[in-house]
Amino acid sequence: MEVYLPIAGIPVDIFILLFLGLSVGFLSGMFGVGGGFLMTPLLILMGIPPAVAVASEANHILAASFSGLLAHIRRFNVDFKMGLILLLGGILGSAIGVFILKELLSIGQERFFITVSYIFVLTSVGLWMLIESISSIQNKNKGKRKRLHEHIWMHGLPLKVRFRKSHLYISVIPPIIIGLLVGILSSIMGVGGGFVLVPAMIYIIGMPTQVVVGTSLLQIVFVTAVSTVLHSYVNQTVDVMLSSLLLVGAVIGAQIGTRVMVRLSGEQIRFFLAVIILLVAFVLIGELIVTPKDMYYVG
Amino acid sequence: MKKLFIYIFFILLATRESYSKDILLADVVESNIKIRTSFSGAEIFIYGSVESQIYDEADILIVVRGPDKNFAVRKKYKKFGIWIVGLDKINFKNMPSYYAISSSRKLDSKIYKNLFIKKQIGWENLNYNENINSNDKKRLEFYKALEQNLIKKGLLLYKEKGIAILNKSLFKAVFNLPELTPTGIYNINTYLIGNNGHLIAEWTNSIEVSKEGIAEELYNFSQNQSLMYGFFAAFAAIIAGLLASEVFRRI
Repeated sequence: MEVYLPIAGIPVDIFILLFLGLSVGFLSGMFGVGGGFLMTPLLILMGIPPAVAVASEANHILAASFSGLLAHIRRFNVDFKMGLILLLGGILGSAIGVFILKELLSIGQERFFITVSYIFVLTSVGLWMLIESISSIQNKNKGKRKRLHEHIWMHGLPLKVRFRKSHLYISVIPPIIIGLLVGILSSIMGVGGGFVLVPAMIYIIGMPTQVVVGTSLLQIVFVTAVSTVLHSYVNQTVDVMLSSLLLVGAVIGAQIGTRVMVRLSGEQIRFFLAVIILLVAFVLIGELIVTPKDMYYVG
Repeated sequence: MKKLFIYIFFILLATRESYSKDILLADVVESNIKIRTSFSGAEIFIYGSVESQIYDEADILIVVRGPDKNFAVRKKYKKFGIWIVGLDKINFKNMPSYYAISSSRKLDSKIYKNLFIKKQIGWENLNYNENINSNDKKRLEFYKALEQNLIKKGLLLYKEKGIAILNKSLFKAVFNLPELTPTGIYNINTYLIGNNGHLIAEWTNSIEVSKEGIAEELYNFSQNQSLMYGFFAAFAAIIAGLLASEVFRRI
């Protein structure tokens, strides 16, 4: 059954969209990530204009992460003070990203830029996760343990604030910069940014793992909300039809995925996720190299 | 229902023809076409009559032209093994967003050339001096690329012998409007052209093409009230997230 996506301007099979939502939802439930970094490239590969894929995916992530955030608030796993500091940068970053995309659209370079950003981010995150997961699987076998976090130069910066929930007394500058970068990334690439934000919060800011996911969801909810509004207002690229169809599949998929998760260890999960991320990056590299079917770009 | 309309019209036309002085008549079954976006497009039905003595020495040609649009075309090229979209673009202004031609016979382009240029009939004759006659090879190449792009989307149609003739005097033609057809006023020009290439008669109709259904409402909302649409999209997502969380908490 075909459904016409009004903003994307193309008809797509409704079951393909539901299946896509289900599959990515399943993976995101299983791996505890938003899934935007998988969904957006897949939408682009399906033929949805990249700018529409990015903006609609931001809207989709907003819905998915809001329900996740509620669950974490109920369990008191959110550091609101840290979330607020991250958001200072995040909202600004999101706005910057939307305007970068507007400029790219006006010169017809959005597809190239979005694809290259994906290749860059997916390859680096994927490789890093792959190496990290393999070495920690090996360390585990040897019985070694790592320290939770180490003190680096960043903790010497001014404007120190006490974050009770995270048991930290650190400068607000690193969280603001991290928030800003993730905000830009989020609105340019149509991702929540959890796959960058979570490691950054653990390894750079040094937050305890149990509040990291909830706090990152707080940032993701607000940043994707701002992205949705600004993408709609500035570029008119949010396709509500697309995002809501994806959501139906994703919500169900995530619930199934969450239940499967318990059977795998953390290192195994990270290893499989790394493999999937690298596969997507590989397909995107192919997109850039293979001769296009249509040699012209009409706008 | 549509068939019945045509049937009644043809009967009326047939009886009317005996005392009519009109050489050419054409009309559209529905002058207000609504494309229902949940289905696949719509059709324009055109029917008319032509004086039967003239028919043997003449061709009928129907041109449907949608609202004007400006296009920008860019070419992709390979650099360091990677395909990128070139920064230089060529603009084609005031081009039809939908353009379809149907004729009663295969037309000899040599005989008709002057008339077609004058009346801007055919893709190659639209804004002829600017697009074709400019000696700008790149512009010509990009213009052809735009043509191919529109053909692929079903927004540019050529149908030789696409006009069905009954009794050498009654004719009908059908044009498909795909889902992504732009909305607005469509002009339909029906030409009766002699075999020597001279225009015998011309008839003009116009119709309004609009879209209906939830997809179209969303589209209009997103274009006309972008900021409100953004808040709506964000709010709807939050409600959906809330609902999902409530539903699955109970399962």
